[in-house]
Amino acid sequence: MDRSLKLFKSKTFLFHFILIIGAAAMVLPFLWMILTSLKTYAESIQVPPVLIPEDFQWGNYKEVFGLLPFFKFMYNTVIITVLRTAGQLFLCSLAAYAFARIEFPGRNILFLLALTVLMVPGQVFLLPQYMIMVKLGWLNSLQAVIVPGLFSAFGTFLLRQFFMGLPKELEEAARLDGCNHFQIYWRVMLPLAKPGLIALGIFTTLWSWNELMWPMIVNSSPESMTLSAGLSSLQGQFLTNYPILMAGSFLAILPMLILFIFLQKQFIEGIAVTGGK
Amino acid sequence: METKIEVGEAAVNSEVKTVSRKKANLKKMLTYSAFVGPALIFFLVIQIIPFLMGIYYSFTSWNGVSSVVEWVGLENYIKIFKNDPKFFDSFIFTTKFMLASVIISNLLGFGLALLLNAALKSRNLLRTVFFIPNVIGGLLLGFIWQFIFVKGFAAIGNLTDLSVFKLPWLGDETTAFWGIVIVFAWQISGYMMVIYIAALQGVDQTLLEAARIDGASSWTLLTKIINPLILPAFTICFFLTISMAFKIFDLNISLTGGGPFNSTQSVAINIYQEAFQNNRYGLGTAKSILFFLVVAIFTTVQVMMTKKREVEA
Repeated sequence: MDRSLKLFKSKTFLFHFILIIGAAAMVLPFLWMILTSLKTYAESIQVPPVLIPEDFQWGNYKEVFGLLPFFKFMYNTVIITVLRTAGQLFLCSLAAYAFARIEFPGRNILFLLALTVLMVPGQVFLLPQYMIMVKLGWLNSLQAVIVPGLFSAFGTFLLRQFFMGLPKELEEAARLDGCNHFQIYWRVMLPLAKPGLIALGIFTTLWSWNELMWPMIVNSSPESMTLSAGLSSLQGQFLTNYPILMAGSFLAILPMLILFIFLQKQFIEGIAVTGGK
Repeated sequence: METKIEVGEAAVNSEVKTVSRKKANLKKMLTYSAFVGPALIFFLVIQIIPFLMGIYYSFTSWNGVSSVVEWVGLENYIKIFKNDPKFFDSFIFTTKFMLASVIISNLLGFGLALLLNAALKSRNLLRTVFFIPNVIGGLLLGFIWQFIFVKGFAAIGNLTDLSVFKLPWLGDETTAFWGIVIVFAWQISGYMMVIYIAALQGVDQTLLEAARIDGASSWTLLTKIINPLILPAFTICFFLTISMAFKIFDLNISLTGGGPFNSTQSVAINIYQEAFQNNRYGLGTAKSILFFLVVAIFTTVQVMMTKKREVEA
């Protein structure tokens, strides 16, 4: 008994040892980024490296605001992210409900089509989507980024899987009580599908915040640029000025980090939900 | 297009039936269209139409600006197969990268999940920590890691004299390749871990206990009971890692920019440059169609293979 307890303890110790080293590997790059963002340029490339900067160079952050219309980029990114997320939650859940619960002609073909599209790499759509934007005269506008992100086959697929997992008896009870499809969708299914909706909301928010290629292609004027596209221009100009680059990067990831820290349970559960089926 | 045909059929059918049936059918059609219609419009405009346009443009020599779109038949495709070593190289790089990173990130993710599943108390905190890199986009991670590889590793190498850190990180073909693999796996393992943990938690503990009483070793438990039970999680994780690795773009751009000497140029970057920097839209779309076919074949075969094992298990 005693021996097995000891063995157990040494095993958990070993597990924790490995896990803590792993966790350090996850966190240290971010820590280094923050420290670097507060160094002078000379400190940032000094060998042997300086861990803690002698004087915290808060001015680096000021410089980022001077180099880029940072708040404008942030504002654009927030607007784009919020509208896309709202659109996906609404449009995908409507379609997903129909795919999961309403027998309608052409349902299977449509669903198969949506699944195929899931596998198509973004570049296939990119050029024609760009041409459509040119024809609409939408280049360098926020809607050029927002509108194509309002719906996704992925979101529909995710929520359909979720709706399929809900017990049918509930809707049947609702139908007996005289509810039509809209009322069932709105009052019964949506509240029950909350974890799925949260998962999709989180996915869409992260994707939208971090997306680079599409905003880079359709919006080249600072007026409608997003954060990632704006920051990517920093790399070309100031490749060697690491403290400035790190300060800009830190400012850009901060909103998502804060969101994650507050909603970590929902994030983790949301990911787990999508892996379930 | 699909729905139009359906409406026609439904109309023909309902003529035969009674008037009240007709009314009920009409009401049904309205319900379908209200639910599926808005999504369908977006689906058509954002994805189906661009996809069809893409197929069309891949048979033309359009440069993206001129008003003349010249039909060239299979010329673009022939050019890609016969005379485009850069595309071929980027394809080889992307495939190698996909294989390396799928294996490494799933091994790490699954290993971490097993460890975390055992370490009960600190599980939630550690799970959160391991997931953090997934909150951040590839572009910014590339910035951070580029700095770490170039300046940080050199500094550590100076301090510790370990030869790994003294390599010219990102400076030659091999280190650039593994550099991208390391960052990709570093980011994505936590994501895979979360999916694997969820699956592991669904495993019936009484089964494991029964087997343990029968004298099964931990390895037997893992390979004979746990793995078959969580095969769906493997299917999902492999699907996700394969498609993410194939499409790599942001991380690639900010970490190596495709260099040195285009040795780490992914297919996504190659297509992007062809279309938007060389202004050869026709050729670029032809490449992306070919790329689509390859990704579709890879992922379909993978899902079929793992699904088949799921059924057998």
